[in-house]
Amino acid sequence: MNHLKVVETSRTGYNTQSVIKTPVAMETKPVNPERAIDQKLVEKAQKGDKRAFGILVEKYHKKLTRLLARMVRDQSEIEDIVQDSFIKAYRAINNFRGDSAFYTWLYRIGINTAKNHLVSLGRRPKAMNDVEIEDVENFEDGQELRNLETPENSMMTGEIVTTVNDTIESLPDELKEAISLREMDGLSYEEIAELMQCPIGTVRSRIFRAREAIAEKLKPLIETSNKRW
Amino acid sequence: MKDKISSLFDNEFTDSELDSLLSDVTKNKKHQINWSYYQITRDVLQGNYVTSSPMTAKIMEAIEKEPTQMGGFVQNSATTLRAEFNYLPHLFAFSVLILIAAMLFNSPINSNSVNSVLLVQDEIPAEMMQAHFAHTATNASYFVQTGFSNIK
Repeated sequence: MNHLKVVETSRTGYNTQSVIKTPVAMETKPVNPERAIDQKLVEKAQKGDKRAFGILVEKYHKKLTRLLARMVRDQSEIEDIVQDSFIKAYRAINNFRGDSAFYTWLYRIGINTAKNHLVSLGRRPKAMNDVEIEDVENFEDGQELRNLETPENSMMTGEIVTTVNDTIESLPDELKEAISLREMDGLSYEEIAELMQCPIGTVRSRIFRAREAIAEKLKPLIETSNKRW
Repeated sequence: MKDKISSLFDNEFTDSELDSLLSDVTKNKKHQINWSYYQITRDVLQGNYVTSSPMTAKIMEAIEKEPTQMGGFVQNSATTLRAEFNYLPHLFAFSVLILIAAMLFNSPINSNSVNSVLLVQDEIPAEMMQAHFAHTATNASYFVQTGFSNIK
């Protein structure tokens, strides 16, 4: 009888299952760091810091666009709804008390804005049930937006994807592995340090250097792309 | 500093670092641009990247026209702690009120006032008290006298 042992490996070839996920309590880390960042940014925005709200816009506009693409099919309409949603969120920012995640709150605003928009055009909005709202924080689906891409945008997407992938391929192995384990496998610095058998500080530095190299290559492309708009 | 911004992007920070790191990102335009490149890299590697119009700039242009929101509800650990215990003064005031009410309810107010009158009376010479009562109309005599005076 053959005993087959199935070991889940990451896209980088590491056995990510063997990493013991135990938090190190040397310095206090927030329980939910993502939410802690958002809460701080909201607090800054509530105190009048519009740039803090800008980071929230940068962080969530694509995610919100992807979600609203399930209700509205027209790209320009979606962009208008996303913009209106953020403006409404900013106007109501003082009412946000952190009872839910910022994105869940923003998503509800987005859904209501989209529904009102469709009703004003005499169209019937698609029902979005509570299960979808509960699951919204984990929602990632680029396909919805790819369906709406213009041929020109699609070409630019191809160029950017190729640039990122080519740059990663050209990186020294340790940088390539660190950034891939972080972005593709979603491992924490501690887990990556354990896998790569190096200090956490080294992991931090490798990921940063990989990002800087990619950013350097992306810069001219993005600048050209922005000038087109 | 830039490597710390990269760590922040990965949610790898300590409580004490968060405030200063976010201040750096919000105040430094270069950090914000890097942040957007980090986001593109992540989207590409996770298969979610799609080119779209630069919406952040458009949205922020509209937000800039909005009146600045000030004085919102600030929820940090200190205020949360304060919020948890801010009922204590009310509880103390309520307890004091209950205590006073209980004391008043149990104490013989009328008898006390009679006692206090008697105590005062003890200190006044007897002849003075007699003179006082002699010239003070009782209820009945007062009204009888008043009634007579009206008839006259």
